[in-house]
Amino acid sequence: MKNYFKSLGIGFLAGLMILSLAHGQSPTEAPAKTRPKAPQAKLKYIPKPKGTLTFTEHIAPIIFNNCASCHRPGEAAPFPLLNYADVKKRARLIAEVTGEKFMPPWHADAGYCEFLDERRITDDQAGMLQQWYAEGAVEGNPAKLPALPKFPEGWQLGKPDFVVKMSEVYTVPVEGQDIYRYFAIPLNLTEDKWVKAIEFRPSARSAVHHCLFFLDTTGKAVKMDEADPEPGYNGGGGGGRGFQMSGGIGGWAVGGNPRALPEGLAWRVPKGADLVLQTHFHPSGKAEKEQSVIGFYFADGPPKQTFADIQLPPIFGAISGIDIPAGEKHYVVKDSFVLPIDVEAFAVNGHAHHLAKTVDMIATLPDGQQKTLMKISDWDFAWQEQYTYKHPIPLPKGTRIDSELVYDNSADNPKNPTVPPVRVRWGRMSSDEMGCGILHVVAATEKEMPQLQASIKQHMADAFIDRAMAESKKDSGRGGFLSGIIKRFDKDGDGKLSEEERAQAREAILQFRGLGEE
Amino acid sequence: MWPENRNLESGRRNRAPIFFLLALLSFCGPSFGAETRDKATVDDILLSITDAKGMAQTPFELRGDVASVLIFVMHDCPISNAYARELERLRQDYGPKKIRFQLVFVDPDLKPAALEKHNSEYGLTNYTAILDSTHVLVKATGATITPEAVVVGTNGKILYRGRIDNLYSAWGKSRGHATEKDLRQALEAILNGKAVPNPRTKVIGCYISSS
Repeated sequence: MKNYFKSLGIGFLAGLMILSLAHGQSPTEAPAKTRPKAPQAKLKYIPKPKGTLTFTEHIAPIIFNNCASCHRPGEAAPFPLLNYADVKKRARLIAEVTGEKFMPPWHADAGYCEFLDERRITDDQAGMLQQWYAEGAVEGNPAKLPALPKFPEGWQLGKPDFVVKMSEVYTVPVEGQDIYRYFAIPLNLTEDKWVKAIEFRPSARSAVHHCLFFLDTTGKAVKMDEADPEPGYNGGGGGGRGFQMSGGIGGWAVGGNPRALPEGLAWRVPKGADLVLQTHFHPSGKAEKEQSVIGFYFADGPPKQTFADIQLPPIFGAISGIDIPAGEKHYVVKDSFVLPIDVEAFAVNGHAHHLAKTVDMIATLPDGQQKTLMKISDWDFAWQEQYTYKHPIPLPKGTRIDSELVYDNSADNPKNPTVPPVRVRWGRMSSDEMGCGILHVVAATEKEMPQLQASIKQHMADAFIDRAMAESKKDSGRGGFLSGIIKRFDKDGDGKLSEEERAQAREAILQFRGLGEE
Repeated sequence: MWPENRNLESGRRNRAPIFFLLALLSFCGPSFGAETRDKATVDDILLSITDAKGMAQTPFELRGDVASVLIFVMHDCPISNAYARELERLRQDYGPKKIRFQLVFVDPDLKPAALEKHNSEYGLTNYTAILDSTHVLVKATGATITPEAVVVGTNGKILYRGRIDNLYSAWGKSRGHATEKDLRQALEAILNGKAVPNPRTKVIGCYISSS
């Protein structure tokens, strides 16, 4: 009995405390029924008349058309958003993540280029989601509920012409650092094929972050895969893929929709080539089982047009001397390239790891006019995406293309994976850095394509030479191969390369096999 | 100190004044702008709830433990799930030091069988799991988000409320490994009889539906 009174007394005091706090004596206390204010994002939104927003009439169309394609069973998103109960339960989360533009995931800034498959909601839509939540997430008249869009089941691009599957199941560790792993899959094609689209279907949806597709005609990747007791292999020396790639044929990233190459383009898959997946995993908390299935869609014959990737700087920045001091808040990597022919750009993407803040590509036309090809002002490593232009962008001969990436290696950068910050250089792991913008183009006149390809190679060779010059000047002791180039071609020994010497150096570099790969 | 083995009846009687006060509170009217529903103490120290195995639990009653930790989780919140291994390590590291751990699942639509499957997939079967479908514990502690840790000490005092650590800096932005282990820091302080250095921290995660 004594205890009873004691507990009553304490309970009463605690209650009084809550009551007094609820009257505003502490900013951290609030009555249980209070609805926290929706996020304070800078949305251009004129509130709708109070109490008029309902799920069925206003919210369902936004969710069904922008979220449900991924937020449904079997797709990449972690939970479904297919009905009132699903959405009401997460109304606050939805209001905040859309207000802050974390969702739908789309990182190319608005207002520059129009892209296909844009996952973006307007400020008005985001504002309505916030207001609807703040006003109690009302359902409204069920008769006004729109039908869910018809989502294709299984293969998004229809039945593939050819399907392969990882031969074994790879178990993703439950936690820890990111994992890059290669999986070699023999295609056993008896003739060359032209591929216009590839659809990748991972089984470990919550752990597979992205996957790049390579071709290997040497058989080395299959041997390395077999030699590793676990499914797949970790990569050759330094985590590289360990074989001379005969081609890259695209990739897949979380959130990306499979999409065929623009009409008339195709990748060549030579007979006997093996497909090699480079899969990047984020451990999810449980032992996920990955066994990807890959569908190929063949073109009827060889394409009428070829395409080229202008990567600035080349090789994902491997020869750009990326070396970011610990604490550096504004480290810039940039590169420029002048188009030798008229082209049309059909897609663009960037690549960097956690420290990058911005990734931009800008074209300066011969008349001085500037066009932003891609602007990402809040780079997010998790969403490596290729953006396909809604309307291809014509760029005339003489156009200069500039790429610029800015990195923040300070402790103020919440994305910095290392605290306190450490010096970061180029490397394959996500705690290292990479950096480039990539513009995907066709030649306006197909027969001029060799000129563009030659220029791209020359640009890369020049980047090597410039790097070698810089390293030899620094005498850093790193430049075995690089400073060797200078020593070999700098015949007069003045520490510089004449035009003629540079041309010879370029030639030698381009003949060095393995160049031009990641 | 609280007695070790009170029956649940006394606990129920204890709730009456709280309900009265909560009723009073409801007249305060809504006030937009508050970001948390923080509480200094839990509503009812003897609150009893049935766990996923059908056992009665009184998660705020210490019964000889130093503190009781409630981890509010959602089975389909990726941020909650990313903590599975760390949660098990916490239980292993601090369980023997008389810190009690409970996992509180807050999705009102989660079925017991799905909870069991989840915990076996994520290696959390050694946890006491509670399916808080009606948000009894959510309301009693003022939890708003998952994964939120609430550490309850003597007299129902909430000694720590917040994140497990700083693994996430924002939605979708994981550092890969935490550099500030707030919950561990709080538990160390409590075990050493010291004040918790940061008793309230912000959680990055998925909001609880009634928040």
